[in-house]
Amino acid sequence: MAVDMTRLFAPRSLALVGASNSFMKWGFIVLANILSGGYKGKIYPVNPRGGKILGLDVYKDLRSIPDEIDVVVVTTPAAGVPGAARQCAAKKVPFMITITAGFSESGDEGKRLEREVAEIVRGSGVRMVGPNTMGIVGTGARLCALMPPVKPQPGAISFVAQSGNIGSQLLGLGQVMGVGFHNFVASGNEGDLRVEDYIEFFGEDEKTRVIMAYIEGVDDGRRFLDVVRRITPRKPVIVFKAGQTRSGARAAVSHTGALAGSRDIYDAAFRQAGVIKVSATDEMLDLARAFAYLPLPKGNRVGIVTWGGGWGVVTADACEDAGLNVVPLPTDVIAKIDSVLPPYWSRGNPVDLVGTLNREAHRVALELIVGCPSIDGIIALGIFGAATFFSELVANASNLSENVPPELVQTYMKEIRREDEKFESTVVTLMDRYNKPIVGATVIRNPQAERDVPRQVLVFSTPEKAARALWRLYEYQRYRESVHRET
Amino acid sequence: MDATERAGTEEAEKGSRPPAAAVIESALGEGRTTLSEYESKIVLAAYGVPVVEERLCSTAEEARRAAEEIGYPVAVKACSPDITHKTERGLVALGLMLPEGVQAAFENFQRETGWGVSVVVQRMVKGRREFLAGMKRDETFGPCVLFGVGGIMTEVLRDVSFRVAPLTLRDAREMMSEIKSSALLDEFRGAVPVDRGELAAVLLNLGRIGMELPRVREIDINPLVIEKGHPVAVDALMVLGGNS
Repeated sequence: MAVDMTRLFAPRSLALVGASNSFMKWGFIVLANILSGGYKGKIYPVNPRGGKILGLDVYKDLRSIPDEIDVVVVTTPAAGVPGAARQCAAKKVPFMITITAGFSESGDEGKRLEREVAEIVRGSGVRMVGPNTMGIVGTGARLCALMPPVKPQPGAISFVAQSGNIGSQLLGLGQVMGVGFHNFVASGNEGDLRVEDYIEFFGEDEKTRVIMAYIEGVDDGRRFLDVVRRITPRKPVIVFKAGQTRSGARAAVSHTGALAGSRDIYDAAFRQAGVIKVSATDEMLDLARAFAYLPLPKGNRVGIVTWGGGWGVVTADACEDAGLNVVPLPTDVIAKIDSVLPPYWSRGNPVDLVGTLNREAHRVALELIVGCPSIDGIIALGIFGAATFFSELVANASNLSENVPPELVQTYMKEIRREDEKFESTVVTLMDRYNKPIVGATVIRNPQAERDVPRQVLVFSTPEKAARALWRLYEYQRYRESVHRET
Repeated sequence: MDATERAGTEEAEKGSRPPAAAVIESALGEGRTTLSEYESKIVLAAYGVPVVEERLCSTAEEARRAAEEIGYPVAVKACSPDITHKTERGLVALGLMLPEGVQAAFENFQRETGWGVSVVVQRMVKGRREFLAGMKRDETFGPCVLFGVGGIMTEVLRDVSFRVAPLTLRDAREMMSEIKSSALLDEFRGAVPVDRGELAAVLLNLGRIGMELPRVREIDINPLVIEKGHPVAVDALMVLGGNS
C-alpha cells in the first residue's frame, strides 16, 4: 500500500516550526519562498518568542494553533527536532518536513539523533520527509517549501531527488527548458520516507504522468525493484543514478563476485524494473518532457524532414545507430511532395527541403510524412523554432543596412513569430490526428523564445539527441507491449 | 552425455548424492567458507543444474576403477575445499587415456600437496565453448545471477550480464543476448546452436539457489561447457557465509 501523500504535496494548512525574522536564517528564507510562491493554503509560523514574521501572526507552539495542520516544516537547530516531532505527534499532524541538517550525514551523534526522531514519528503515525531535505514542491497547491528560490511551473512530471542540489538545479533548468512539474521532493537522509515510497505514491497519483528520480543509492533494493516494476507498465519512470562504481568486491573469492560491481547490479535491476535510465541531467528533462507530452511510436520506422542535406545524413546515421529504421518513402508520397518542392529535392527519406524558405511547403511535406502509414515517428530539422533563425537574419540585416526601416523590421519579426505559431499548432494537430511523435532539432536555440512554445513541441539542440529521444520512446512502447503480452 | 547428468535432481532424489542442505551444513560445521568442487556440484545437481559425471576417490585403486566405469578419456583433479587455483599448481590432468595415467596423476597430486588429497575422476567433456554462470549476494539487491564468457579469459574480457534473482525466463533470455559474444550461442564453427532453454534453466536455478539457500554467498560455474549444444557444469565453486 502506497502512503497517501496527497496532503503532503497539497496541504490545506502548513506550520513552520523555527520561523524567524532574521533574514539569513532558513526559518525566514523558506517562509519567504512559500509566500512568494503564492501558496494557496493557510500558513502558521511557530516560534516561542511570538510576535509577527513577514506580516503573519506567530504561534508559540503547535498546540496553540486553533486549526488542523496537514504539514509541519521544521527549520530549528537539530537538538530541537525531537521536540518538534513530539509536538507533531501530539497534534496528529500527518506530515513533517525536516529541513534541519546535522543528522546521519554528520557523524555518530547525528545518527543517534536521527534514530531518535525516526522512532518518535514511527510510533505516532506522523510521516517525515528528511531530515536534511531541501524541501518539497506541490504545484497543485502552489506550494514551494524549498530552501533555494526556484519556482517550477505546473506540469505532469513528479520528481524525487536524493540530492537537494541536483533536484533544485533540475527544477531551475526545467524553468528554462519549459518543463513543468506536479510534485517535487528532496528526500534528504530518508530517516522515515524513502525514495521508493515517493515513487510508489507518484505511481498512484493521477496528476503525475511521468516519474523522475535522481538516485545515489537505495536501502532496500528488492522493495525498490518491486515498487518500480509495478508502475512502469503504466507510467514511465526515468532514473538518473549517480555515484556508480564499476569494480566488484575486492575481497571476492569467485569470478562472479569480482565481476559484479554495484553499477552492474543497479543496471540489471533497472532493466528488470523497466526503468528508463539516463546518464545526464539535461537528458533527463528532455526525456521527461517527451514522455509527458508525446504519443509513443508504434514501431521503429522514422521519417526525417530536413531543411538541409548534411543534417539529414547525420540524423539518418544517428537513427540507425540508435536502432531506428529510416525507411524508403512510398511512390505516391514522393509524387505529392514533388508538387510543393523544387524539382531537385532529395526524392526520398530523409526529405531534404533544399533550403526553401516557403513555410507552406514545410508544412505540406511534414503532413505527408506524418500521414504515411509506413512511418511511426518523425524528426524535423531546422523547421521547428525557425523564428529564432529568421529573427537573427532580420536583425543582422537591419544592423548592417541603414536602408531597413525599423517599422519594417518590427513587421517582419511579428510575421515570423506568427508563422512559427502556425507551424507549432500544425505539429500539435498532426500528432493528435495521427498519434505519432514529431520531434525537432534546430540551428539556433533561444530558451527565452522557447518558453512560449507549446510543451508538445520538442526542440533538441542536436539531431542525435532527437534521434535518441525517439528511440527511448519506442523502447518504452516495446517494453510496455511485452509486459502486457506476458500478463 | 548420459541421462543421469542432465537430470541432476533425479539422481539426488535416488540418494546417490547427499542432499544439498546436508553438504552445506556439514561444511559450515567444520568451520569452512568454501565447498570443494565435488560438493559444489552436489548442490548444483540437487537444483537441476547439469553437471559432469564424476567420482570422488581417495585411493589410486578407486580412481582407476572410477575411470573404468566412466570410460576413457577422463580428467583427474585434486579435490579439496582448501585448494583453489588447481590449474596453476598442476593439480589437474586432462584427457587421460590409460589406467597408468590415472595412477600417475593420483601419485603426483599426493607429492605436490604433501598430504592425502582426494581426487575427482571426471568424464572429459567435449566442447570448445566455455561460459561462466554464477550467483552473488549483492548488499543492496540480494541474490543476483551472472552469465558471460567463461574460461581463463573471463576477467580480461568482462563480457557478462546480470539479473536480480528470482529470474523470469525473459530475464534469462535477455542475459544471453546482452553479452557482446552472444553469437557464440548460435551455430559456431560447425557446432550446433546452444539449447537456450537448457541454458535459461541453469540461470533460473542459480537464482533459486540464491533465494532458497541463504548460506551460499557466491557461486561460480566456470567453465560451463557447451557439449553438442547442451550446457554442462565442468568446474564449480561455492563460497559460504552471509545470513543464517
